[in-house]
Order: sequence, then structure tokens, then C-alpha cells
Amino acid sequence: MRLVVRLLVILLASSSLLGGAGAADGLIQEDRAEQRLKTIASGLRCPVCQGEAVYDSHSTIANQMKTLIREQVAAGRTDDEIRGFFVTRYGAFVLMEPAASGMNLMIWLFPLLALSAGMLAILVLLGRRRQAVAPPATSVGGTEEFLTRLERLEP
Amino acid sequence: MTTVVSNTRKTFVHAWWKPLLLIATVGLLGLFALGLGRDPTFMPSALVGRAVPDFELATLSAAGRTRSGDLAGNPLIINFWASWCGACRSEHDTLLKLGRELQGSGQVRILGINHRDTASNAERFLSSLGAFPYPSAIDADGRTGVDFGVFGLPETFFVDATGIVRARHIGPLNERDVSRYLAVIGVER
Amino acid sequence: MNGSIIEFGMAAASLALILSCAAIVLALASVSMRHPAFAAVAGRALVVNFVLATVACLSVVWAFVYNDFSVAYVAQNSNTRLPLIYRITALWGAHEGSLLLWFWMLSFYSAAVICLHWTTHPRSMPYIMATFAAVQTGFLVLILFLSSPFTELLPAPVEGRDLNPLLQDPGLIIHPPMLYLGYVGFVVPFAFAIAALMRGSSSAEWVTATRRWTLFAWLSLTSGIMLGGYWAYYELGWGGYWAWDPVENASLMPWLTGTALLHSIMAQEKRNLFQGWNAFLAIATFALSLLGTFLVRSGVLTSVHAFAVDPTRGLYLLAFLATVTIGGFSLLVMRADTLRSPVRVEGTLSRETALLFNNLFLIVAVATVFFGTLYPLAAEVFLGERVTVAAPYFNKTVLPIMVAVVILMAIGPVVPWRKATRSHLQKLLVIPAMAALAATITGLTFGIRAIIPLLALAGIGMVLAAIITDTLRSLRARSSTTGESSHRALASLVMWNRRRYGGYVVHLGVTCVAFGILASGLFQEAKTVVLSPGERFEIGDYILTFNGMESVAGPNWAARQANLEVTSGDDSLGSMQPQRRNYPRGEMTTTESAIRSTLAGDLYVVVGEELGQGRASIRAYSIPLVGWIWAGWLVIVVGSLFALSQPRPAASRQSAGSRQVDAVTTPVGGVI
Repeated sequence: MRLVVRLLVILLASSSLLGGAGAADGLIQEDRAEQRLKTIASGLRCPVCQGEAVYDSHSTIANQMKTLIREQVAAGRTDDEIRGFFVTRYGAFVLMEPAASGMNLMIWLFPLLALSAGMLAILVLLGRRRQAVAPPATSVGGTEEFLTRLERLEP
Repeated sequence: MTTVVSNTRKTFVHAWWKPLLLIATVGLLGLFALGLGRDPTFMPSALVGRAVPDFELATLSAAGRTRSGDLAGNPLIINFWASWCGACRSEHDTLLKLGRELQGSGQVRILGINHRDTASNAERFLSSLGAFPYPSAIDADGRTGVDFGVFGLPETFFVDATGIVRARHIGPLNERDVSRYLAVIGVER
Repeated sequence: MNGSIIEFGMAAASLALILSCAAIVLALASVSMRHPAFAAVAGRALVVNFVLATVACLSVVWAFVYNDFSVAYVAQNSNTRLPLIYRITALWGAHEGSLLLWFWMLSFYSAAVICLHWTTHPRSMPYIMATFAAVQTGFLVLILFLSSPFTELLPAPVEGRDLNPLLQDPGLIIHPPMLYLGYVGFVVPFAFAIAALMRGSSSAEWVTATRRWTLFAWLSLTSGIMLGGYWAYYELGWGGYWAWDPVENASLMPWLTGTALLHSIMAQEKRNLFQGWNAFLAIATFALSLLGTFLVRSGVLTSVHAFAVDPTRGLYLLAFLATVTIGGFSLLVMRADTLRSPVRVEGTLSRETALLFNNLFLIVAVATVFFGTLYPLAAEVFLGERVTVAAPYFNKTVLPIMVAVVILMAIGPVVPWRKATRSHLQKLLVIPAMAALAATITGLTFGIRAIIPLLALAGIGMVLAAIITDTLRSLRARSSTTGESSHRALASLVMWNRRRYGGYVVHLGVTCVAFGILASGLFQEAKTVVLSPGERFEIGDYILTFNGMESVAGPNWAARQANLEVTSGDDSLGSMQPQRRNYPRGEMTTTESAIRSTLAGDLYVVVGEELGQGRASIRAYSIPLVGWIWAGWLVIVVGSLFALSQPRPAASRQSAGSRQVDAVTTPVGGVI
């Protein structure tokens, strides 16, 4: 029941997003070029900022890069060509994420490898419980003996 | 006897993580150590090994235009500067000295590029700190700077006689840097 | 007069260094020479250090309040026109002062732990004190010799520089102390884990003792991160709250391992499982907290034009970090065999397995953040290349893992310990599964087609349903056995199981945060327009009318401000005034966004350049449901505090502790 209420809240809260798409007269519209600027500039790094995209940055250089992107969009260049324009000038460093090639492939494989290795470790751990039903007396005895020895040693 | 063998094997199976943990820790610390030792201004230029970008700009405090084509044939030093750039002040003396020493020798040409600045501010800057003994071009809108991949001033590019960029320096120049870069573009002092 | 006050502070810090060195020696000597009185002296020394640290901090605050520019740190970070509140918080506005605050909190935790656990954990106490004292020594050496906030500047300038304008904000008053309270708080589980390893004790004693400390540190770190996000959101003017920048990643890493620790210690408490792993997590969390403090400060990761790098300081921080990690992990490796318990995970379908997966996902997330943050450094050192690993990478890798964590939140808390049968589990999860389906369908009707957001939505629905059904089930069981009315039964159920229900409330808060992140990310709208006075534009549900620019001034800044009228439908919603502020003293400009917040969404407006003839560039964002992130944080705070309010278990349950109350405590009888 509460779930239904909750879902209704979600619906109500989000319905504002979809309504009112039609534009009234006299409103200044953001042009289509601005949309492409967003796509391209979000994938480029502002060279003087810490990990901030050109699109999000207000720095002088980011503003200039945005101007250049606008000019090139207007000149009919493709997204890849515009990205390439900056890569030849600033290096691969200006891309917000490294291309999945060469050594950079590592960063894309790493999470998958870590996840697989962890899964394997858990499987081994869970599998071990079967042989541990009757644990070898020596090892347990050894540990306990060691512990008592330690306890005795302590102040 | 068999118990001992199986125990050893078991210990090995259980202990695989021990060397791994220690090696990983030491490895990461080593990486940090190397990271500390690096040059914080290191920024490989996409331009190194390629031809100098073409440009045609107005000349500061003089008539006529500065064209990249006119500068070909000699080793070339291109220094980006501006009156608003604080760090540029600390390399000013080095540049003045370098200019006086090399400009007359005919071995190498030097060009300043006044980046994103106004001519009047730039002239005031030079009259207070001393005018460069070599010309400067005006890159008021910063377009040429983008072609060079400049992102912070000062930056200096060293070009050899064939017109290929051989080195890029970020930050204020000092005497030691200059000697090292001049050797790279084949200039003897 | 003023000069002598700061010297007084420096003398206090120097004395604290002597005392912390003495405390290491005395604490260890009390064990090796079996002399309990030594331990008592060490304890007193560490309590005195808290007083000394307070004096040291107050002396710097004094210098700020009275504008004593003969103190270099004050001259660099304050001036006479800076409002008083920021002159006080400037203590932690830059590197040197933050370290002093760090140390103050460390001394606070040390003193508090010594006072509260002296009688309950006498055997571990010498090792705990030695660990605290060692960490204190490390920080004091740094504060006194490598980055001193007490350094004199002679001749004293007439006027100081300025506090970084970005930091002149109410957010800064609270964000760094919260963050540090979290970072430093993880020193408590660290010290207890080191003590347990040194003693070779395999009992769950240290876990029971530190659970609340860990939860408190976790809550502080969570709050610090959340406040940081909120501060970035309204102060940096780009409509986002998290940029995956190295500084943020550094705070996320100990949060992730701390979260793993908080869950994994339950297995040790309840079933005496995972001892070695928990010790590893305790050490790793504290090491990552130190790394978080250092990475930001050492210049290892900062960008080219960041502040100058001091190699001596960096090298010292590295040596400190090396001592903690290599020392801690070596101890773990040497003592691991004494920790292994004969207990095993009994059933594949059990709480234990769920915890294993919880830890797996969180650790893979940490590893990915770590790897992604450090990869540019590795690429530079080994390949000689500069690459950027920024937001898009982390969004693609870490977010899916966190979605898995959310989904697990629906299963983990309801699966019983030891063993569950398949049919029992199916019965537990049938309603949550239906809720997941309903949430997915809702998502589809809203036009969401990407798989990860749909999974996240399903997970959120599932968690809510699981929490509600589980609570109702317990409620029914309770009222049928006790015959209480359902209100009374609910109250007593919740009050008697504050840990469990506090945990549920925290989980609810986390789903709110997840929902806010998801919805604001998916439905965010941004527009940049150039407007002349009188022109209007539309974003989301709103119509904004531009009424021109004007100049305004504050105590130490001057600004250009845009006036915008906001209407929605026929309703006038008042005006918004985003600014571009200029702080002449430090020659810096900041963007002050104007935000109109409701639970349904935020309208966020930033003013850009002025383009002549009264025209200006305006950037507006409609960010739906982003407020749920901060609302979720409040829920997390409430849940955590509720769980913390559970009274400590009665003395009889601490059999391990009471058995040990022996020679060590009796002659001492308290610390102060």
C-alpha cells in the first residue's frame, strides 16, 4: 500500500518534467548548435581545471574553447572532427576519458577483472565449508594452544 | 607424513594473499614516490615533433604583420606572454638577457607572442620592465594560442631550423632551462 | 602581546610532541616490563595532549580574530575586512590550519577512547595508546617542522591577503570539520585492530568495542561528503554536485571501505567470522583516510597550475603513509594465522554470503576509484603520457557497481544468519520482486530505456518493499506473541532493536539519495541563452524574464547581478539574482548561482558574461528531484543517530572483557 503511495509521489513529482514541452511565442530559444556544443564540450577537459569539463567550466580558456566549438559546428564539422581539432593541439589529455586502446584498455578491464577475481574468491570460500565440517584436529589444536600460550604470556 | 604435506599445501593456499598484499602496498607507495619526484610542470605537447602552426598576426608597436613563413630557415624561440600574467614577470630578465645575447648573432630568432592582451597594456608592461630586443606579435583573441595548445602563461616553444617544434616549456624560464633547450634545437652559445 | 599568544600555542604543540613520544615508550614499556603504572602515565599524557591541542588551536584562532598579521598563516588567509565568522573558520581554510584541526580531533578521539574504554579493555589499552600516540607524533612533527601555522612573518604586513573566496561561505564552516571528524574517527577501529593483532586476540572484542565509533566516524564522513557536495552545488555554479575530481575521490574511498567495515564486522560480532578481513578493512580505511588528507595536500595528483609542490613535505607524508600501511599490513600478515577461526560460512543462502557480496562490491568500487584516480599518475610515470580519467569513466564503472550494492540492500538485511532454505528465501523476496517489477515499469513509462538506471530504479523499489514487509512481519509476530496493539508493538519493536531499525532508516535514506542522483541525472535540463533586458526564456516548467544587470557590493566584494523574474503557468514565483562576484583583495571572481529549491526539483540560474547593450549570457538548469539527495542525507543522519542511541550491551555480555579485568585496572582506577 505504502509502495503505491510512494510510486504516486514519484509520478507526481516527475510529471512536471514531461509537461509543457510546447514553446510559447516570444521566448528566446536555445539553438540546436547549443545542444551539439553541450555534447562535445562535455567530453573535453578544461585544460587548466581539475577534471572539469569544458562545458561546465567558466574559465577563460574553456570559454574560448566553447567559442571555437560553436564556430566549427557552424562551419559544418562533425563531432569527431572537432574533438580531433583539440586532440591535435592539446593531446589526448583533453579527452575526459581515455580511448579504450593500448595501455588505456587496462582501466576499462580493471573493474571487470577485480569483480571476477572477487567472485572466484567468494566461491572458493563458500566451497571450503564442505571440507570444513570436520576440521583437522591439528590445526585447531595448534591455534588454541598458541592462543593460551599468548594469554599466559601477557601481563 | 601425509598430514604434514597437506598442511603445507593448505598453508600455501591460505597464504597466497600475504605476499600479494605486501607487494601491492609497496608498489603503490613506490608509485607515489615516483609521483613526488616528477616535474609538476610536465605536460607533453602534442606539438613536439610536428611543424610550427601557421599564423599571421599584427606586430606589437610596429607596422606590418608577422607571418610564420617569414621566420622559417633558422632555429626559432616563440614565447607566449601577457601583461596580466604574473609569472611572466619572473622570466622577464631571462628573456631580456637571452634576446640581447642571441638576437644579433643570427643563429636563432626569437618571437614573442602577446596572448589575449591589449596593445596598450602590453606596451605599458614592456616600458616598465624593459622592452624585448626582439619583436612581439599580437594574438588578441588567443586563436594562435589554441593552435599551439597553450593553456597557461608563460609558455615557450623551441623550434629547430627545419621548422619542427622540438620542445615546449611551461612556466617561467630560467638560465638552466634555456641552455638545455637551445642544445635541443642545435644552437651553440 | 599577540605574538606571545601564538608562541604559547606553539609551545603547547611542542609539549604535546614530547608527551606523545613519551606515551609511545611508556605504553609499550607497561607491557614489556609488566608495569601498569606506566600505562596510567601514558594515558594521562594523551589526555593532557587534548588540552594542549585545544590551546594550540585557540592561539591560531586568536591570531585570526585579532588580525595578527605577524603570523604568516593569518597574513596569507585573512584580512581586516573579512567577516569575523570567516576569520574564525579560516583556521581550517588552508593546509597548515587544517592539519592542526586534524590533530585536535585526533587528540579528542584519543582522550575519549582512553576515558571510556580504560576499564573495559585494559589488556588492549597499552597497544591502543601506543597507536594513538604514534599517529599523534606523526602529525605533530608535520605541524611543527614542515607546515607550521605558527610561523612568524616579520616585518608584519599592515594588511593580510584573503581567504580563498570560494571558501567564504557558510558551507565551509561545517564541511571540512565534518569530513575530518570522519577521517580521524577511523583511527579508533584502526587502533583497536592493531591492538587485537598485537595481542593475537581472535575474539570479537575489538569489533564490539569499536562498532559505535566506526558508525560515528562513518556518519561524520557521510555528512562531510554530502555537505561538500551541496557546497559544490551552490558555490561552483555548474549545476552539479559531484565531479569525480581527485579530491572528491579521496574522500569517497575511505567512505566505501568504512561502509564495508560497518557491515562486515557484524559477521564477526554474531558469528566470529572474517576476523582477518575486518582487521584489513580497519587498517585500509584509516590508511585511505590518511591518503585522502595527503593526496590533496602533497601535490601528487594536483594539476599543473595548482599551488607549488613542497618535496620535503610530500616525502614526509609518504613516509608517514608507508609506516601506517606497511606496519599495519605486516602485522596482519604475521598474525593472520592466529585469527583464523574454526567457524565457517554454513549456508550459501545466508546473511554471511550477502555480507561477502556487499564487501566484494564495495571493495571493487574502491579499487576502481583508486585505479582510475591514480592511472593518470601511473601513465605519466611509466608511459610518459598525460591522460585524463574523469567523470565519464567513473560514471560508467562505479555507478553500476553501486547499483548492485543498492539491489543487495533489499536482500541482505532480510536473509537469516547461518542458513536459509530456498523456499524461505523465495517467500521473503516475492513482494520485493514485485515492487522491483513495478518500479521498472514505472521507469519505462517515463521513457527510461538504459539498463543501469532501470536496474537502479528496480533496486530502489525492491529495498523499500523489503524493509516494509520485513518490519510488518516482525510486527505481526510480536503483537501475536505479546498481544500488544500494533502501535505499541511497533514502538517496542523499534525501541528494542535500534541497531536494526536505525540501519533500516539509513537504508531508506540511501535509497532517497540514490533516487535523487538517478532522477536529477536523467531528467536534468540545461540552457544557455543570451538575453536583452525584457526578453524571456523557458526552462522546465518555468519562464524567466530578464530585467537587466545591476551592481551590488558586500563587505569585501563587489558584484554584477542579474535580475530575473520567475513565473510558472500563471503564478509569479518572485525573482532570482545570480551574481558574478569579484574579490579585489585576492583578485578572484566567483560565480554565485541563484537556486530555487523544492522537493520536486531545483531551478538553478548562473549569470555569465555581459555582452554590451545590456545583454548578458544566462545559463539555467532545471534539475528535478535533486533535493532528494540532501533530504536522504537527513534521513541517514536520523537513522545513524537512532542506531547509536542503542544502550551499550550489559556488562554480562562482555564476558571477554570482564574476564580480563585484572591487575592492570585496579591500581589505576580511572585516568584523570
